[in-house]
Order: sequence, then structure tokens, then C-alpha cells
Amino acid sequence: MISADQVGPLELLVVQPTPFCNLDCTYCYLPDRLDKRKITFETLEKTFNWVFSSGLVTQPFTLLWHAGEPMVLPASFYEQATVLLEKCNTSGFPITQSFQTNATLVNDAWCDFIRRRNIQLGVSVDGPAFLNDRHRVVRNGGGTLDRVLRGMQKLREHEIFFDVITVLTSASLDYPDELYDFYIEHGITDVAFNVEEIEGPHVTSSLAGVGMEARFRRFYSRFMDLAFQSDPPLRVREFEASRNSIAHREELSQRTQECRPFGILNVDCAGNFSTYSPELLGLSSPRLGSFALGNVATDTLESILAMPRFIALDDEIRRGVEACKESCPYYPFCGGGPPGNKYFENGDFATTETLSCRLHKKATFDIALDKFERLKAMM
Amino acid sequence: MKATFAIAPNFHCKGSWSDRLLVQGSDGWRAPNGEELAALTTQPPADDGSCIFLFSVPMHLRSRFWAMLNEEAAEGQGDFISFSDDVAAFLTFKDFAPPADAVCELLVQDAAGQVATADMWGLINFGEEPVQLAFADLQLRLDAGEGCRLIANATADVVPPAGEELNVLYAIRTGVAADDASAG
Repeated sequence: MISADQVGPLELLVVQPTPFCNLDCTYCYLPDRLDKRKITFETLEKTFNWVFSSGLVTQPFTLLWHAGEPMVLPASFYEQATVLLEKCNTSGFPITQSFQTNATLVNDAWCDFIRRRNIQLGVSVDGPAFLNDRHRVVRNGGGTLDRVLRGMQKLREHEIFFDVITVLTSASLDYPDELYDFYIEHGITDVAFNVEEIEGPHVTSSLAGVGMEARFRRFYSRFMDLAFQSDPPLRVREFEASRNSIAHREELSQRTQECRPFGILNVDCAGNFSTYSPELLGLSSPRLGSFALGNVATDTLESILAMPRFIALDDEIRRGVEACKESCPYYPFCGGGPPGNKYFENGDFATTETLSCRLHKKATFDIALDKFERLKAMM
Repeated sequence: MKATFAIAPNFHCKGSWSDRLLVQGSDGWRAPNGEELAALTTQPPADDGSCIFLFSVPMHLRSRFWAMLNEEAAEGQGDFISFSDDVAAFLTFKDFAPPADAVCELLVQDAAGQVATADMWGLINFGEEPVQLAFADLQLRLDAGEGCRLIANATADVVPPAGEELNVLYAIRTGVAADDASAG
């Protein structure tokens, strides 16, 4: 049995309001995007009660509505959910709510809710139409950028801040200048780059080919040069992460949120929950079984911690982190590669390097270090 | 020889060839028909120097261009060399570097102006209005921010602007600029 003091604290609660998404992005890892079920208030209440009675909440955390397009449900649903959250929150800690959305369904009601409830918002958009509409499409294959821009415009009209996540594919890597222009043109000040990952049903990545790492490094270096030039500088999540990991090296040498049991709790619309990488929810392994460990209606944290399936899963993930620690010079700045990527790429959590490590961690870190050294030399 | 046109590899240009090319017809200039378009345009091939490449420069470089001109007009501090380095860095990133000994110049062409293109590697329209390039029996329109990599055996003339308009061009020449390259 794993003792309760070895898990948590909870930093991120990911709740799937619905598996459904109105888009059909070609690189999406979510398995049930046509499933129109939605979470009931009964399940939501059980989720919140489970969380706040678990002992995992010893600090403020973020509630992220994700794993489907959250705005498929109306803003009024989340208004009620927020009231429920406040009722169930016995911790006394403030809970930040966050939405990761494609922004195509933003309307005045949404903007009113976002402003009133001080919601954090991340918009998924991949740049100008010739990039975005290559992968971010609806089910008939049509592009989505026009609708995303309308949503972003609506947010700006209501003076709502949002950051942007862009998924980089092989096609993006030739266009750092065009991406930079896109962000500046649309008033975007905070950008995060995800790489097209091999996860769940998305079993290949255009970034996995020969020579891609060199192209990625070239892209990222060029983009960061442009980002520094802008006034004010365009903030890039990966660069900030590199900067923080250098500044807080000792803290990051501990197991990260994603590698630590119940640092993240992922709950699907039926109340099934998993931990570690959010991408694991809803998927299973022939060897380890379902990554869903239990249900908020029937299973306590104590029962999960004693469950052989969870113990085996945690042991494998822990061995993977140890292997990273022993073999990877970037470990002190990283804390171990994402378990989901390890499993989906290598078939085993007790492994080390992945595509995500090579591009999203190592390349971005090296380039950040290079930029710091150049800046230092100029001072 | 008829020139063939392509979008340069690693670039994206808006619009279609049928919208930007004109061919000489019996009643004057007209859009090419499908058969003519097929003969005139191609998918991006390996760059063997046989194809006129269309490309575009990013908005941030265009803004920088005008900022440089404003700085020059206001305080005489416009840094054309630094700007040219930025253009070269952008093109180099695109694997589309100008020749190492290329010379860059700013051309402002009025209605009476002529632009020598014989030694030109490429030309970029930094103005806000389209610029027409005339080849033997066809014309190519360069929209704002678009450029064109020329080839040796397809001589082009820059069609002077009408009336009071000015063409604002950035020329990349393969050697020392000819004395007659300055515009009228």
C-alpha cells in the first residue's frame, strides 16, 4: 500500500464536462470526441466532495475544464457548477477555474461568465489559416480559423485576457515568422507551444521523422529571436519554463506534478478518475488494465492506494522517473518525462526519453540557455 | 522560352495564380485560361534555377522597413544595412538565401521611372499597392509584401505606377548595382 503522505498535494483537477468536441482535429488524442454525454450535477458534486474529503487539498489548486470542448455546454452550466464548487469547498483555499477551448463557441454569455468568475482561458489555435486549417478542422474537413478569430474578437471586446496554445506539426516548422505575425496581428501576448505527440489513438507524429529535431530547434530559435524583439516581448511558456527550471533547479529535482500520484486528478464525465498524465484518462493498457483507477461515487483515495493495479502503475512510473534521474542530464531541470508520453511511445512507463522530451524539453531548454548566454555576453 | 512560376518552397502566398498572372491576348491583357495556367505554373520543384519563385515577407519585416524609413526621414538614423541583414536572415531561414555577394537597394519608382533588372536576383514589393512585373508576353502582380526571385533567361520590366503613385521596391542584385538601376 502507498501511504497517503506519499501522494498529492493536488495541483490540478481536470474535469471532463463532456467528451464531445465540435471540432475534429487530425492530431487529437481524445478517443470519444463524438460522445455527447455530459457530466451531471450529481457526479460533479460527488467529484468535488471526493476531492475535498480526500486529504489531497493542502494548497490552492486549478480546476481545468477540458478533455472535450468545454464550451459545448452553456455558460449557465458552469455558473451552476461554480456555485456547487463553492458549496463543496471546505478547504478554505481559493480554487482557480480554467478552460482550454477552441473559442469557436464564445458568445456574450460566456464572456459575462468568464469576467464575473475571473476564469483563466486558454485558446487553442495553430496560427494563420494555411497552418491552422490543415489540422484544426470540423468533421466535413472544413477549416475553423474564421470561427476561432470571431471568438477571440469577442473576448477582446469584453477585455478578457487569454493565452494561446499552438500545436506544432512538421508543417509549422518552416513558418516561425508567419506564426509570430499571426500572434502580433491578433493581440496575443502569451503563447505556449505543444508538439504533435504520439498519444492514445493518435499513433504517429509528423515530428517523429528523421531531421525533425534539427528543424524544430531551428524553428524555436528563430521564433524566440522574434519574440524577444517584440515590444513588449511575446511571452512563450516553454521559455518561461526553462527560465524557471534554471532558477528553481532544486525544487524541480523532485517528482513533477505529472509524475507524482494525485498531483493531478483527472475525472471523466461519468466520474471515473485517473491520475498522472491527463491523456491517460479513458484509455487502457493490455498489461496494466484501465488507467481509470476508480469512480468518485464508489471508490475512496484509501481504497485506490491499496489497489494492486495502482501500486503496479505507480511503481512503473516511479522506476521511469528513477531511470530519467540516472540517465538524463536534463533531469535536474525537468524532474522526469511525462508518463503518458513514455507509455504511448515506448509501451512502458519505466522508460526514459520520448519525442516530447527531445523537442519540448531538451531542445527548448538548450535554446533558452543559448539565448541567456548570448544576452549575458551582450551585457 | 516561356517562364514558369511557382511559390517558393517554405513560403505561403495568398491568392491564386489565375488572379495574379495576366497573359497577352488579342484584345489586351487577360487572365490565363486553365491550359495556359497549367503550362505557366508548377508545384515547388527543387530549385534548379529554372523557375520564377514568388515569395512573401512577413508583416514584422514590412513594419520594420517603414520604421527604418521614418527613422531616416526624421533623424537620418535609418539603418538600411541592419534591415538588409534581417531580410537576409529571414530568407536564409527559409533556405532561400540570396547569393553571398548580393547587394541590396531601395528603389522608389514613379510613373516615368525605369528599373534595371538584368542583374537582379530578386525584388520585393514593400509598398502598399500591387506592382506589375512584365515578362515577354505576360505579367505577374506582386501584392504588398510579396517578392519574386527572377531567373537569367526571363527578363522582367517593372511596370511604372500610374499617376502620382510610387512603387516602393527592395532589390537584391547579384553584383554591384548598375549605374542605371536608380529609378526616375
